[in-house]
Amino acid sequence: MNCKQFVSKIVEALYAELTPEIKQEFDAHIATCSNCRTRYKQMQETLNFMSRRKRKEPDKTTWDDSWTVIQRKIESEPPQNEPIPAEKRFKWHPARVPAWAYGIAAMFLVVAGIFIGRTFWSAKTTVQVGGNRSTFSELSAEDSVTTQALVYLGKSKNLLLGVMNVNDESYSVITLIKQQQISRRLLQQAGYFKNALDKPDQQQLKRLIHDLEIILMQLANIEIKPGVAAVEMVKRGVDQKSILFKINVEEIRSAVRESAPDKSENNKL
Amino acid sequence: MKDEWELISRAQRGDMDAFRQLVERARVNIFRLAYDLTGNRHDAEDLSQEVFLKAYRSLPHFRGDAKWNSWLYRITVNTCYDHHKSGATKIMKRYEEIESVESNHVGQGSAILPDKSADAAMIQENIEKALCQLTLRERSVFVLRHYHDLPLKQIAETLEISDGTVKTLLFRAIQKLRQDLAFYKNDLGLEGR
Repeated sequence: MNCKQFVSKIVEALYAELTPEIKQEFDAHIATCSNCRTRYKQMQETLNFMSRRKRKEPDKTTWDDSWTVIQRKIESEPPQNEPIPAEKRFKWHPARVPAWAYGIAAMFLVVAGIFIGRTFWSAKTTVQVGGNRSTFSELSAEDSVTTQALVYLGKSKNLLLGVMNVNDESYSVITLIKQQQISRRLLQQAGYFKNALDKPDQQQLKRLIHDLEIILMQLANIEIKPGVAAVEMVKRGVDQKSILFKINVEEIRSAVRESAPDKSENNKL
Repeated sequence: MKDEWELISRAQRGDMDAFRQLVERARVNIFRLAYDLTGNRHDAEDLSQEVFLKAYRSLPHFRGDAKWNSWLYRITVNTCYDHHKSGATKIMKRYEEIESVESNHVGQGSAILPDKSADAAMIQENIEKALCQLTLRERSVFVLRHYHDLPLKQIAETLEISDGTVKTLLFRAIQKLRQDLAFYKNDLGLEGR
């Protein structure tokens, strides 16, 4: 046994709770280590000294009174299986709740309020496209046509990336059918944007949507024969018209426009 | 032990006489533990009452997983912790009591008391003060081991803490007591350090 192990066993040794084997090791250690021996002796002396304390006894008369009180209280309580009267039920004691708990509860309520507000009360913009109504649930009522057009471009980009990044092995009829369905939905919305984007600074966006419409039309009208050259034709069209590049440019422009007012605010400050 | 079980099961069926016998057997230890933890006779009496009331209410849930005494000790310690948390325990009360004992003792005329008795009162006072310096957790572990003779493992079960924590708290308590009572060098083996 070393000094560290001695310390971990000292309390058990003081109260004679060591197993005979460990007691033997313990005794062997204090026989050779004078520091540990002194420490052990001091602690033992402290305990002997604490044993000089006189213990208090309950007062006999007080006890008789106490029992009467206990008995009276027990008898006044309803049996365990009977319902507890309303006035004796658990009462809320706000003073017993620690102050920090109120803070956490308040924060939780605020977060819950924001979540509920955003989930259930946020306005949804309905965009009229031809004879159909399509909902851009991710857009709020304040969003401009440009923002809606950007969302539209984002969706188209995802579709075209799906078309561009497939090879013959992974391409299946089901994938093609799904892409054609999406493509048709996007085509319906393209008409709306061509009419809505009427401001001079929206003309570039309008031309892009026009080019995109042609590509989407090609995709929507491909005959369902996987691996046929028609898919390659769509891919070539996307490349030739640099559709993906142009969408990226529009996204960057939009990001720059959004950050511009913040910068000016910062400059003012 | 068998007798105790019989009393417990009778008390669980609502036999007040059996419950009184159980309370009678435990009352001195419960009062002493409450006193050790609060340092005040009045509080100890009130808390003992509360402990037995709680024990009666919880009696239907007592399954005998723990010993009857350990179970009562657990209720006592928890009741004292709650009492302490509510701010009802004032350490000053303990000093007031010590001082009143001391003043009574002096009032009887120190001249007629033998010196040994005066020393004993002083030692008692200093021991009580040293116990007050311990945290409630340290004090609980110390008094349960030293004055109530509960083995370390049973203390861990009673206080629902690990064996290691019990040892650490007890070690710390003894060290603190040694420091606080360091002026009794002869008694504590500190001479020559």
